[in-house]
Amino acid sequence: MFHSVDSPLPMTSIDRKTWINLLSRAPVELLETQLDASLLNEVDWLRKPETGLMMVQGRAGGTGERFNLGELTVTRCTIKLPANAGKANVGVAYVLGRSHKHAQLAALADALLQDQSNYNDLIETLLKPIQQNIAARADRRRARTEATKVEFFTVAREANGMANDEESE
Amino acid sequence: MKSMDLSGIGAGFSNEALGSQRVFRSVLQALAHPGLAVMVDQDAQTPLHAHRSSAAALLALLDADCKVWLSASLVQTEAPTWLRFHTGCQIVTEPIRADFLWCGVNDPLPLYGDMPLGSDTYPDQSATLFVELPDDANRPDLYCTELELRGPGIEKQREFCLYTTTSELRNSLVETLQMNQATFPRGIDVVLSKSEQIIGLPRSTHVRVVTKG
Repeated sequence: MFHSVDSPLPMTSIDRKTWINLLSRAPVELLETQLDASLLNEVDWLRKPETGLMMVQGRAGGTGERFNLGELTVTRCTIKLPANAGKANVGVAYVLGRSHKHAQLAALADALLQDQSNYNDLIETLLKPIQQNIAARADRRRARTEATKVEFFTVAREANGMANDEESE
Repeated sequence: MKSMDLSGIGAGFSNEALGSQRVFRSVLQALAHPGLAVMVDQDAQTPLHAHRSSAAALLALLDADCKVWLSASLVQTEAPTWLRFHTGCQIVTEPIRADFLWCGVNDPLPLYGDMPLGSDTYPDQSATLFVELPDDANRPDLYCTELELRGPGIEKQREFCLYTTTSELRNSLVETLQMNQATFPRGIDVVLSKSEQIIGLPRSTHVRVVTKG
């Protein structure tokens, strides 16, 4: 199942799968400025941040047999916010790399987003900037690649003479 | 894959490596000294409706290759989610497919023939059965079935008092322990639990009922 992860999202309502996707690719600096990290002092750690390897699988052409592509370093953690009106929101994060800080903040944001009272604020202050950042990074990469583009011309050969010369060498 | 509701579950060991090693040591002690109650010293936030000792033992023993069967009263609680989240184990509905079986207080045990006993060539491919015993000492209906244990880990014999409140549990436990002698080396290793303690009764232990209280 392949789909483009960089396609623009309708920003009116974002489901959990989409925001977890965005948070896991967000730059840590952005998470640090937009989230109150002191909230992490009050949470229950269901799983403290831990770094490990995950096998990435692929299919040739998206349809062939599964094969193991290689291993990636992944950091994950799970937190539980203090119960609010009898309901404790649980935040989960799996992020690439070994940044514990990133996993903690992404999990915190996931838990906060599940609370309706934070949802709209966080979309404006956190998810939209993240999306812009990801789009800007993709644009920069595309521009860098485009700059090295080479146009090849195919020149039709003369029908007689040349081909015979090549064969005789 | 169905997503799990994690809001009801607690944390695992505060220090995964040391916590699980300490509990593993207790399980070794219990199985090496059949019939002796061994304290399980641990700090995991175990599920509310399960014994802290058996939950912690399973937390320490299980991994992603293990299949676990839970009895009716446990499977409805947060216990399966908790185990799956922390260990990655698979929860199965048929006892015959399980590597570990976990029976809540006074739940009926699976029939002996429905549990994996291993084969004569590979007796290790059998299941380990955790049975939670009622351990409220003030319960008036608690009665003792006196067992005499012999075998490895016991110098001569050891008296063991099996406290139960229902005759069904008593009978099926005694039957399981005695069937172990008939099918040896195939069989089930049994670990009984009180809330903070576990008692090992491996298949090598010979069990004789002295009195039926």
